[in-house]
Amino acid sequence: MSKDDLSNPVILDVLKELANIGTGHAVTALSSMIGKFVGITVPEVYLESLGKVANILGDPEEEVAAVYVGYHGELDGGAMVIFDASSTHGLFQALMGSDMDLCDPMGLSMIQEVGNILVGSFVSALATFFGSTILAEPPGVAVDMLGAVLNVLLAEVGQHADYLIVAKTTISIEDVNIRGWIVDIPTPESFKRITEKLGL
Amino acid sequence: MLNVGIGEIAVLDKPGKIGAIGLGSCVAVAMYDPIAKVGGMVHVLLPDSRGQKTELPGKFANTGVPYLLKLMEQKGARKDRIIVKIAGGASLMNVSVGNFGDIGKRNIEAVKEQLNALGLRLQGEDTGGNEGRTFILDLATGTFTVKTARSGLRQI
Repeated sequence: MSKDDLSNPVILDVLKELANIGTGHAVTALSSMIGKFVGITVPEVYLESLGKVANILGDPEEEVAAVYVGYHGELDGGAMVIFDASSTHGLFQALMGSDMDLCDPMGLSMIQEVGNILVGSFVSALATFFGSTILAEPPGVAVDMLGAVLNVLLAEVGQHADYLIVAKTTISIEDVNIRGWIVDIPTPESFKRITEKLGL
Repeated sequence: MLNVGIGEIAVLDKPGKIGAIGLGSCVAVAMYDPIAKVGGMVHVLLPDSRGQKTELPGKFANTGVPYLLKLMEQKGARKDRIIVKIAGGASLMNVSVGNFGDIGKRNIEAVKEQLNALGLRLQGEDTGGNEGRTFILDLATGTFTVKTARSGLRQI
């Protein structure tokens, strides 16, 4: 997958729309689980070199909470949701009614579940859109430096490409504003299937 | 500080710092020739290129490590004087990547294989575990420093 394939504006628009559909479903799922209104911004889509991705999302050394889900089937890839530290504390408050340490096992498990719902419904929205089956793997969760948690995702995509597409959104739960990001990266084969399916 | 992103390689022949920020499963290899005062770093993402063409030769251990040595030598470093230290290769999430399984562990092994093959002796490492790291080589002092989010600074 070359940079030219990815930087085509039509392709970027399509991916933006897919990200829109996916994140919309993800947020709806989260909203019905927690029984609160969840808002979401229109995803911003970037094409970036592997070495620079962390900088789009923030300071590579900043401590964040991240959930990664790999998926296989009609589309293969991996997706990750990242919450910065203050967003994670915001989630603890909004969902558990009290704050706790970022590495608290109970908090981690809550983050993992929220991430799993977001990524899982993101993936199933894409599957419905393409009328196909996509299976998600069990989620992985970590609290660490942004750059470090991104390695999992980048190692996956780095096997095929030097560049990748990043979709970034902000999620808000009632009055708590959560800087969350959904990053979705299809492999080159999946990418080809997307463009073929859409007749591009 | 000269920041070495994933897949990138940098060499410096004047006093200054070179660093890789936020290493998870990635491994950064730092080389330093204390006589020539030349230092360099590569930020490796994956063990093996398996013939893949890439704009980022530093992305793979088998292409990045020899390339870093070549750049070091071009700047006047000599193999018999080069001090090599590595950091990274953590396992942050319990997920496997592609066919590699525990990618951090594989990266550490692949980097060491390359160093062996090139006849370079590894003189220090801070690898494995489940914590992300930042790795900095300071050419002014010849020190190799590792920083983590939760356990602070240490020199290797």
